[in-house]
Amino acid sequence: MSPWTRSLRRTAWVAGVFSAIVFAALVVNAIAVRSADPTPPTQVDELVTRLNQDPANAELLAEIRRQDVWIREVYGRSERFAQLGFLLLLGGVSAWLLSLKGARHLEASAPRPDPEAPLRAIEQKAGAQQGVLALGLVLGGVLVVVTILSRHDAVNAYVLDSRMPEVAPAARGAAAAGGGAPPIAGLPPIGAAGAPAPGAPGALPGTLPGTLPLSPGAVPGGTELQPLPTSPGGASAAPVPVPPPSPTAIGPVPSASGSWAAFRGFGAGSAEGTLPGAWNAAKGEGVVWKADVPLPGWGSPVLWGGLVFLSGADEKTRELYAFDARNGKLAWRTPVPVLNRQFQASNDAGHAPQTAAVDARHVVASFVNGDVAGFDHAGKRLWSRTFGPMVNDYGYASCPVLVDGKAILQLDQGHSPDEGKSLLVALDPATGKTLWQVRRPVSASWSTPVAARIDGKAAVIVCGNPFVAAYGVADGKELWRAEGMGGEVAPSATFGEGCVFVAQSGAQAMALRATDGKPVWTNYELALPDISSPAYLDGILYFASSDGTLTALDAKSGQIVWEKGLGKPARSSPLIAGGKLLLFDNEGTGRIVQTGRTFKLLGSHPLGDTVSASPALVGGRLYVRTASKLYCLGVR
Amino acid sequence: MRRRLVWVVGALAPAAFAQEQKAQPPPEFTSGYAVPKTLAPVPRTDLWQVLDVAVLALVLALAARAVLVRRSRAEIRVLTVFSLLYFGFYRLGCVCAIGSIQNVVYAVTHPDYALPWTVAAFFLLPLGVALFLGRVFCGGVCPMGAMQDLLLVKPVRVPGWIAGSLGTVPYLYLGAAVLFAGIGSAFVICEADPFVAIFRLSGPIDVVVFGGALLAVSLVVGRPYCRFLCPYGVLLRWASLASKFRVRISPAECVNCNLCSDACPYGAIEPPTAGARRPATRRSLGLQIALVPALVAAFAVGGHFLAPTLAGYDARVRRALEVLVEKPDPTLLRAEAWRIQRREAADAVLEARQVQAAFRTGATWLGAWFGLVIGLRLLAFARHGRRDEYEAEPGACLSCARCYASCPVENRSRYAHLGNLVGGTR
Repeated sequence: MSPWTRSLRRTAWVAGVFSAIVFAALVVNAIAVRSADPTPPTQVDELVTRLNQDPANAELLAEIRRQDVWIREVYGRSERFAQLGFLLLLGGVSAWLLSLKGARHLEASAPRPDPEAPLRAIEQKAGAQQGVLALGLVLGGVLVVVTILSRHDAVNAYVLDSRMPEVAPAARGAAAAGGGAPPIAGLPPIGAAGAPAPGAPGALPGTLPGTLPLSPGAVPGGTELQPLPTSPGGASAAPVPVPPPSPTAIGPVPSASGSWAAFRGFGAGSAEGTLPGAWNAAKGEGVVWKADVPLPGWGSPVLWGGLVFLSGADEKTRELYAFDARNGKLAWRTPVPVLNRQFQASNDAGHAPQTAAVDARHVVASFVNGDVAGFDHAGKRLWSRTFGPMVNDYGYASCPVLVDGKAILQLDQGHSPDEGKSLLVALDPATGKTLWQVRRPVSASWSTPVAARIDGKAAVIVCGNPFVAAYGVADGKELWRAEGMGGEVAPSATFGEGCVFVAQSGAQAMALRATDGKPVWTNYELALPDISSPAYLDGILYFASSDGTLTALDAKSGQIVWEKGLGKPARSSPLIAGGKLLLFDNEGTGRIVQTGRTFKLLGSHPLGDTVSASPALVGGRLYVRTASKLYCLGVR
Repeated sequence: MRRRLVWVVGALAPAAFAQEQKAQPPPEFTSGYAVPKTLAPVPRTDLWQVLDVAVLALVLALAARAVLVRRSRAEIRVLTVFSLLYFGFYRLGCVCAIGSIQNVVYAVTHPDYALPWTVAAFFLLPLGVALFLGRVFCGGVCPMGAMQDLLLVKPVRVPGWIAGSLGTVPYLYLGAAVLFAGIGSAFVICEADPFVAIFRLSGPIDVVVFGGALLAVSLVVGRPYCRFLCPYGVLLRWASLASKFRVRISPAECVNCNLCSDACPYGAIEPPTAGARRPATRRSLGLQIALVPALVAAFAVGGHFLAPTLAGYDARVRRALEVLVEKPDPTLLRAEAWRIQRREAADAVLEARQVQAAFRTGATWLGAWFGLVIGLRLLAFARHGRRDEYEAEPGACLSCARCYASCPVENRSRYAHLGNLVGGTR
């Protein structure tokens, strides 16, 4: 080894050791800076907030400056150290390289022939081919794994699957309807656009702006209703004889004792127990308690575990409330963020037209703009997401329903059924992630899914334009579909006697066999409801039209049993319990009517405030939401 | 000499002072606090842009001369150091030919984007030169290649299976970079540039570690980034396949002495095929040809399913999700910015859905590209072209001029003036 080579090697060693020390110092510095972040932003922010409250506090100002200087000094010191270290490292590595390369250059031997090179080149190529093959297999495997994993990324999938309109909708103006919708000042009631049923006393002329004038029996979207052959009284039997439905084919989803889990309860308008006898809010008679609801809303109360849940909202704020069912005290109120701001609700519609849904662990609330949120019973918001903006001229008003651990949402939108924007979605109430979703070829509607057990399995019955359909809760599979709906569908279904019953102004009243949706009878010569939903008891179907006509139909034939004008328009849905029917009119007077084949008014009991929501009945006490208050009626 | 220096300094000084400009008017403090003078650099002036392109053209010309005319490794080494200092440490690694791919793609897919002429020049000049003269840019101009090249101390031969699999990565990287740039999602080449943090003495820790690791590997493996990652290298490889005046190991007729077989640290020298066995049969070749469309289809399907995941990396999609589900990245504030601007969540979602739709198409094409690359690379390695002498593989040769020194024919002509001392006869 020549002296030159020796010195170069020594230099390389020294430079290498120097570089290693500098590198180690740089690493230590980087770790120290990261582990002991000198910036306490919250602390400084807090001081700044305090200073804003007390601008004359010179001591505080000095403290902020001191901390600021300290932060800068620490940061600057570490930066300078890193930069100096890097330059030293660069110098050290350069010296190491130069000396090492110099030494290798001096030691370099002449090239030697390699006769095996051609053979080796072939082996290299064969190896390269195997390498490419291995890479292809690895890539393929990665693709498969990532694909499988990404299918569970519900949050990401949401934006992909969200049924966003391609053009922002003009979802403005008109009021929403649904789980208790408001009166629309100066406009005919929703649904008036539909065909006035010939001869129906409650039929209203005219059309709403933006809706199609309909010929009798026609529905928007070009579907022509084909009324069944009519018998006197407007009722018609199915053209092909349908075997009588089994009375046990459909029944309510079991509900926990002391609960009222959804809009109109799981009995779809019928409840166990008895109605309170009488009340008069002005005199305080029959009022167990009343409570102010902080923000307006038209949703109905739901109950679980001694809490009454309600939502309320205005333009800026959304909230879910829980009231103590014993005394009406506000147990908690939880704000909900506004996610979809591309909506301006009218004063009539409000921002919270929907009823919340509740089960043993969760509460799910939706809002007029398509926002949905999940909560636990302690009021903690678990998640929120939006399905908005939705193509819905009055605003999204369908209520969620919680069945078998799934929050089911009817997201009907669009101006015609073939727009392909409507969905039925099941969410995990704990996370808000989509469990399944089904595309529905329907236009916008304001109806709420009704939970029931069909042939022992949990299902939801969903009304829309132009059909009623039943879907399995487990997987969203469509069980059956029955055409015959039309206009602006807001009432929800009810059930009994093995049948599903629907009644819709602009279309007709129908009894559908619960197992397959085959029509048993239809009747369109009636005062049909626009918003209010029907209720069933003991072979009779009851419903109220918007002008206040209460009608009883024979559930087996569809023939009118009796029909009575109550004198006041009603949007609230009837509630039947203990053989009595309760219907609130829009002015807040609850009328109790004896159920059965003869009409008998048992009493009228005023609350003195607008009622559009539907009442809940738990433990013999009635929970009613008015425009500004929540009432608990019954015996103290 | 001194007069010339004064002239240069005098010409450049105004440009240097023009770089100082106040960012914004300072607030008026009532406490008597004196605001320190804050300065922000203005965009690089036209003069500097012209200078950058001129330097690029000049160094390209000098490198071509050094490799092809002068056949001098020493001159290439000098140019390498210059390029590292100028394009790397002085110009901080930007503009760079490798990253310019993304600007070009973005300009093609976004007609409203005006491609800076400097970027276009950085993209086209090296390719144009490669089309006629081979990868001269890699040899003496690219600062990233320069840094790795200078670090190479003791090259080891990379086993075939590693070279084959890793050598495929640049094609895949190029496809991904084109997809992300075309959709306007990200300039991934820049974001994952392992050396720019070193040029700038600052950068994210993961990028610094990646760059450091690559440099450490560069001590024993010749230019790992250039061979196993560089997407621009793919374009240069294609261009140089057509080059007529590229590197020839021997200045005259090759004597097949085998002396240069180990001279290339990048494995770019191919030996003659005469006498070597040919393992690929016609049947296996046919199978591999049939495999290509199957791979294209399979990977296209895979790419289609990968679209949501890829789209999830797009800032616009992330922002929409953050605006919607309210789990914003605390370090980015993009959801907050969206709200502060009083922009609708729906707009964010609409934008995100457009991005996702683009990814659905783009990722399918990307998958098809992956399949095509793998299929064709398999075929390429099955093929054994006929060579009668040692050649620098035109696509893989990085024009570093190392192999010349091993060639006795080269040495004979170079040292002819020394008479019989060095290989005077054949």
